[in-house]
Amino acid sequence: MVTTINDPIQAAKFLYRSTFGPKNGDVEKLLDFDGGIDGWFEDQYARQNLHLSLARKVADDTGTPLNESARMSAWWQRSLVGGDQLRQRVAYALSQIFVVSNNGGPGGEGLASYYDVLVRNAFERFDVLLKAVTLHPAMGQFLTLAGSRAHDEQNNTYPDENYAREVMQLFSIGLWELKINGQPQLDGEKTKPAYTQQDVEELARVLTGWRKDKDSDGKDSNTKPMVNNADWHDDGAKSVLGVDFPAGQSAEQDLDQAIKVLYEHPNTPVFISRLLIQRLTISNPRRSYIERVARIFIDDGQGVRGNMKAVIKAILLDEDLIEGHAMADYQGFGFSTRNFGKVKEPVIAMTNLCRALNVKSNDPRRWWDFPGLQSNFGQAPLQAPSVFNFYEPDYAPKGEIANKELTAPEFNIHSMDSMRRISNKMWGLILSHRLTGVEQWTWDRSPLENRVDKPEEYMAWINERIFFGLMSDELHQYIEDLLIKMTEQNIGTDRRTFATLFAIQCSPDFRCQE
Amino acid sequence: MKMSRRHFLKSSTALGALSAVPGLSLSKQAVAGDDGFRALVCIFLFGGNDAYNMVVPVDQHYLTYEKARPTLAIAKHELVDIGIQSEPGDTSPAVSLGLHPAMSRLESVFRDNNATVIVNSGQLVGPIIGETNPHPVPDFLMAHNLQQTMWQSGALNMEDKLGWAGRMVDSIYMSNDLSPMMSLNGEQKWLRNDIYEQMVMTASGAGKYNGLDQDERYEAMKFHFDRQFNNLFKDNYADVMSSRFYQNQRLAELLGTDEDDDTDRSSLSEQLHTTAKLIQKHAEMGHHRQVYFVGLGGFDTHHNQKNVHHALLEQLSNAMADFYQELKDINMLDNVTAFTMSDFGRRLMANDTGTDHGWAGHQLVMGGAVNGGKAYGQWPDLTPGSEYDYNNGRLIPEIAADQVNATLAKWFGYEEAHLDTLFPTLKAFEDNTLDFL
Repeated sequence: MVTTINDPIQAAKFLYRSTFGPKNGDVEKLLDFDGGIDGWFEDQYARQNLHLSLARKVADDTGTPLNESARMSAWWQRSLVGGDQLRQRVAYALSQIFVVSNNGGPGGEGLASYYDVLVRNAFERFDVLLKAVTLHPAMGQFLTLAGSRAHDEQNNTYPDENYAREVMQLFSIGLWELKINGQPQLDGEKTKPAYTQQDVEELARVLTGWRKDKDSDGKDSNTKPMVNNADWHDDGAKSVLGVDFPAGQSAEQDLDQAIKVLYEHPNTPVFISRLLIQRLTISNPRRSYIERVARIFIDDGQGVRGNMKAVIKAILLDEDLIEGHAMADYQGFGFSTRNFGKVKEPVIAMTNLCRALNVKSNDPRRWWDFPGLQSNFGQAPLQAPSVFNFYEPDYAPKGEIANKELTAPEFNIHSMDSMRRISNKMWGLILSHRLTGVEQWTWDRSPLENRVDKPEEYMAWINERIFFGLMSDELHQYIEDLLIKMTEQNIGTDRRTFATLFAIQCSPDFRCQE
Repeated sequence: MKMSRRHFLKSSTALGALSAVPGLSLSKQAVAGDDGFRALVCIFLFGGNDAYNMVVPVDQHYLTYEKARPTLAIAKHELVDIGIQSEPGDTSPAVSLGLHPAMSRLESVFRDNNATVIVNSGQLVGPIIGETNPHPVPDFLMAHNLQQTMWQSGALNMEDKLGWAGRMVDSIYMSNDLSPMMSLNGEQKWLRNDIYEQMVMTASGAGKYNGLDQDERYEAMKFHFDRQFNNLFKDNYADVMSSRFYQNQRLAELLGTDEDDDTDRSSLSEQLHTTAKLIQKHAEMGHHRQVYFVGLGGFDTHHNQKNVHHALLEQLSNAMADFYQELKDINMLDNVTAFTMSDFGRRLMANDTGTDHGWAGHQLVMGGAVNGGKAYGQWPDLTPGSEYDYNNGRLIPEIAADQVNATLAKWFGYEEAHLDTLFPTLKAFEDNTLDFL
């Protein structure tokens, strides 16, 4: 962590990675922050806005049930206007690692409560986070750990292996034994599996005995951590990943030991670090970048393993981000500047635009899901099609990226259909400055109207307020020429502002992040 | 100058040269129907279908099944008798098979001899059952995503960047610039190939780009299409942007656009309905071959399986029966083969109220080209500890997924002599293909 952020360009880039997009004044605030970048991080660590309480409030205030719509209302509000941007942004990234979905999970209340587990534990120790994730009833329902019980000879039933498998494959150690830099450990030319089917079966036995708690009305709780039922727990001796679990341990003791085994496994630091790097900063980190972060995961400098504050900071302040260095073609040594950056997640491109335009909800009581994320963006928070999230971490689209053995996971959801729908929703947002319907959003277009006859000022506003100084010369030139030409043709304010904003929102410049 | 996707598509008559790859021209016997058109339609059942509750013995062999999963067994009198039997073998008798009660609408399709069941099939890299030196088991057997990939790649082709339908199509001359690879269920490895972008749409097909009703906005969008960037992502984004736009435009010309854009059109029956509409347009699209992917999720029934699985199989059966009727109506039944794939079968032994990941399962194949009237493959011994029992009721397949895939590829027009290039596993088996087509 040799880096500090001290110029406006680096500050803007940093804010695109660490928040849902800069808002007016954020760059200056960051540069002038008391205590510098460390001070900014400390301030962000201390802030925390939760989702469930807000979802409950908006549901009550608007007389609706606490459903997915109420949860999305809370998500938009927290993401677009919350002061704890780093925490919210990291929680969103975590929601794509520790995936729970409305598709097989509980409804809005349980999911909002699960999201709060990610929000609350975003800067906790990794084992604390993993245990909280494991015991949340939404996860218990989604990956069916709730109700899993010891082998029953009479009915010929067995423990549920679902969570046991995915907690290893996706939430901690991954499929293959890894080196500290993320490369697979090889046995000759063959990768070495990190666990066996036997480990899955044994871990499934370890994790038996949990069920949902009851709410005061006697119904299964979707918000309280799961509780154990000693009768269901298999308390025989087990062995997972070469570690013995002695006979006679309670469900809680067995769970704690399992979490410890996964937390201390040599794969976990690099497996989790790489996934977080891909979500927050760049798609193709160099091996050395991954290794630097993984080493902070192993030891934050104070002897603490899995200190997520330190891990997140190491990810966001790595020297490669300042230098603009990414993995070389064909995963070779050295570095590439061309390969630096990523395609923005569609949801993030939308939040970037909303925050730049300072979009507001027309309903003072809540935000309605005006963009209709799930049906239009190919993704929405806690609405993945399965535990495998919205895209494969190693997805490479046909052509140059695949040929050069690089990855661009977000391209996986940029289909013919979603590209068009995203475009339509971004366009809808641009037009929304004139909308007044209570479930609609709006923004104040007057700064652009005031400048539309003064191309230089207009462009300065665009570059500063929408691109935060990062607008390319080529795009700047194109938009300025477009504006001048339309002005010469006496075209009205609407068409001039619409054309320039349309050109910006769909530009590769705006939809990708460097 | 950078060649944009659009230019690439336009100049793709040059791709004729690719048909000279060893290989693979259409064999004569491959030509079907009036104009020789053929389409494969993969119906992927995501999550691992509990095939042993989809296809159940209706004769005395029911008892072994019931005993293996007493809490989950379907009542015998509810099963839909479809009048077919598994193949008898040295140790296994012919077993009369029925379908889950939710699938009654498929009975007539089976009775028309236009559908069949591939019994106890799954991922294999070589035979295991009955071998003195059995082949090793495939990698990562019970992991959803890797097993889905294996179905789409081939059991020994996981490292391959392309799917098997993609590799198949790369070797067959396709005379058109419009992609014949279509998914109505997200981007899929199965369709990845070296020539065409796959067309990923929803069941609503193409739609409108709002905001393009003024020339300056349309021009602004097109300006980005051919820009060149130093940055990898921006450069490729511009290409993706342009190819997606033109794909949508071509499709809109063919199918029209959906007025009600926000309606959810994701159900399997909607996907298959749109598939039938596209198949009907194949000549206008300039296609003599098409490959479709549709899917239905939710089959990972660890919990509350009885209700959930019933509802899923009902959707599957109704969607397939409707699709069958539509193909008949447009006179395309003989030109289309639809088939299921699923991550894996499920364990015979239950969890509390569900089932866990298993290995072998059964798949359905439907279409006018299907040699129906019987099932393919031998019914396994479901007794715990039998030679089919890998562990605790996870069954070992006897028919390899790649043998089924190869049969489909051959019907599609892939040259028979090269099937073991497409699926290297076939070298380990006596028969490359089965007789169901």
